[in-house]
Amino acid sequence: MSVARLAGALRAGELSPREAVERYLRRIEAIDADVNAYITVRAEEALAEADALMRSRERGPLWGVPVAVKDVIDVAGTPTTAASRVLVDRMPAEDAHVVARLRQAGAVVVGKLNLHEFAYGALTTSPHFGPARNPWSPDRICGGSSGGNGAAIAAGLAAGTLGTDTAGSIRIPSCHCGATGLRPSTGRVSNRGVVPVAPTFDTVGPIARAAEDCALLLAAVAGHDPGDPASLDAPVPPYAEVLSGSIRGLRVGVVTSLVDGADARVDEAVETALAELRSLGAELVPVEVPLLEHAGTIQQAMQFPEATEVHLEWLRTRLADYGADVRARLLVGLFVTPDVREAGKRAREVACDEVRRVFERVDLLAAPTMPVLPPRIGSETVELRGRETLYRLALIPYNSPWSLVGSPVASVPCGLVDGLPVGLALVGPRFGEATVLRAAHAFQQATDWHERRPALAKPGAERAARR
Amino acid sequence: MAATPSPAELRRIAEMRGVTPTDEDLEAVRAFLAVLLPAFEELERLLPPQASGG
Repeated sequence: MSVARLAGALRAGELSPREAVERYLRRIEAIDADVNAYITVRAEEALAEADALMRSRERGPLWGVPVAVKDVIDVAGTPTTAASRVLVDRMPAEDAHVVARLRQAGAVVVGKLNLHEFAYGALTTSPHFGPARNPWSPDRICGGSSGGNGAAIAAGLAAGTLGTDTAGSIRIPSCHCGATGLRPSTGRVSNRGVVPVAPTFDTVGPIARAAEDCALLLAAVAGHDPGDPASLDAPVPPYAEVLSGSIRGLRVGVVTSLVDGADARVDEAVETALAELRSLGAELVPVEVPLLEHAGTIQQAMQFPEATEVHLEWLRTRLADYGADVRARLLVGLFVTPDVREAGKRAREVACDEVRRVFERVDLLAAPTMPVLPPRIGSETVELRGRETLYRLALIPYNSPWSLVGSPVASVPCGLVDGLPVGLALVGPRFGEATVLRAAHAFQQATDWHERRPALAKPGAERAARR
Repeated sequence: MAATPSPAELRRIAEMRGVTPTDEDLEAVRAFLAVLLPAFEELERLLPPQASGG
């Protein structure tokens, strides 16, 4: 059930917080062995917290809603592993700011979700905790790094989740798992109590069933946190209230190079989605975004050394405890010179100016979230336009540009190809989350892609899994 | 175009930062750098020269 529907049912007294939590715990027990979405399930704590909510007079907007968070986000008294052996003994004493905000809104955290080790990769195939399996096809990856979030939403193992995104980590698993995800503008949400990747680009954001759910979750966690100086002191619109507006006359810039560069079957699904936006009254305008093909390089010139700085002490003392791919990525940062990093910073400023100018002509940008379908677990390559391509390189042009400039991006399910989900990316100007969510919601009012579920998640799946 | 540094050169730089990678690690790093270094070079060429400040 979606966050919005479940919150409504709880408010109406159709079920209690304890019953809602029990329902998800039963599903996790029955199904999670097949998808490996969770690293830690907080069964006893969640039930106790649900009981405490029932005794309380407070009724926040997420009262009694069972949610889960990526295992880089601290929950007091529950380990934060970051899917790494390096942090296997880390036990936070305090909640991350976003978790404290979820609790204030009445949500119950039922567990911590699997991810690519240290959120530094897009496969979610941790050598320490095992791969998250895509509920649409369990021999395929969920994407990453918030792969457990995508799996949990697709399999119905949490009503809503929080993930993190540095270079696509919310959008990619949302796309591959048929979920709706929102990378907020950088600085919109506090990162305090979250294991960093590269602080210039990191942000927490929601992954759930629908844009409406993302709006409710974002409304709960957005805003300035004096404990995180990088969180911006800017007004936060009432996201859940701005969804219902029309998108008639909205100017949507279609990033043609990204549409044309995707797998032809993905391209077709995205073109159909764009036609749907046009039928809802949006005006589609073809656009090219300057520096787009260099965005990945610019981000990497900054991200590699930043991530290495975060990990430097562990690289000196715990190098063998990292998985091979993350270890290599972190070591790369040692060899990025200060000149290159400085060039990256300067190029980022140019890119921000260019994208700002694009948003003087359009209200939103649209493109495929990912150009390809999720590869099989163990495969590092995909076929793209007839060429064997490294998956990690294929995703960069579709995700880095928006991380680089700190824009909000939603990934919205918009089709199925060979039974696997395809996502449409809707990109807004800085702090334009309300417009992004309004367009995503309008699309979802007219389509049912976000309602489609894999066989694993359909009624009866729990009984089948038990057998 | 910048050549990818040799494993010995990479090891020297890593050890200066107090990190001791294995031979396998350095081969994996070289695979990344083979793609990254030419792209970084192109990036520096793309940017307008910085004002000298004088």
